[in-house]
Amino acid sequence: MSTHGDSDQGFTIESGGEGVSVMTWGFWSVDFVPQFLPAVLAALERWAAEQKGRGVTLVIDLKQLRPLRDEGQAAFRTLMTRVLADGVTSLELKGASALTKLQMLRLIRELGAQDRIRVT
Amino acid sequence: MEEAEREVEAALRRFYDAIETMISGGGVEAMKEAWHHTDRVTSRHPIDDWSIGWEAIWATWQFTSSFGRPDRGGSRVNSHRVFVYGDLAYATVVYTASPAWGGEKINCTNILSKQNGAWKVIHHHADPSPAMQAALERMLAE
Repeated sequence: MSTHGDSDQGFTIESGGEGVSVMTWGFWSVDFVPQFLPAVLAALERWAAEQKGRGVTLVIDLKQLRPLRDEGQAAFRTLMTRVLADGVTSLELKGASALTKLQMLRLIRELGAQDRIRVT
Repeated sequence: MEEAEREVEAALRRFYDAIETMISGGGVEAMKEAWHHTDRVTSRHPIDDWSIGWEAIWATWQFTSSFGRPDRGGSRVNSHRVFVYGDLAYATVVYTASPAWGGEKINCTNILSKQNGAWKVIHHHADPSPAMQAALERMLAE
């Protein structure tokens, strides 16, 4: 498992089972946001290589994540776009508080990905 | 009514006017002006958990304002009470969301402080509003 950030803002990435799990927390500052996308994409790439063509799932736990600034929403939008294009078999965003959930739902609608990304 | 009480009432009015401006599509600049911008401010919206620090609070107002539209206004303060203690004051407010935002009656508490001669909000708490949550999800689908 890799940990990024500190007790105020951060995320962990863990690979195993069917895919990659990300746990997020805190309010992400503008300076912190750039860490997110490359770290998750790299983990997905490593895991996909190990799976040799089998499906990869990505689960992101948003329970402790505060609503994102524009920069954070843009990072999630890019992640969703890449994940949909790169053949990740399922993406689940779970546990978000109401405002963060609305941010995710809007991004998903804008991408037309309601049937490919689950918000639980 | 004492001078300080009048000033706090004016600051409180600016805050709720800023909400009305925001939900009517007028943007968030007035809301920005209504707050002190420090790490020691806190907020809990009717559809969110606690935000701590101005940067986190600002993110919530910015996103919330994206649902604003001229035909979605119509919120109102039904009643309020203000209590001043030196350079600190609190206000209890009964607020009714606009019909487009769920129309629910919501009890709120606000704390204001006087810094550099200006009374502004440092804490805002609103009771949860399931109707507002549902309304915003409907707006997303429009």
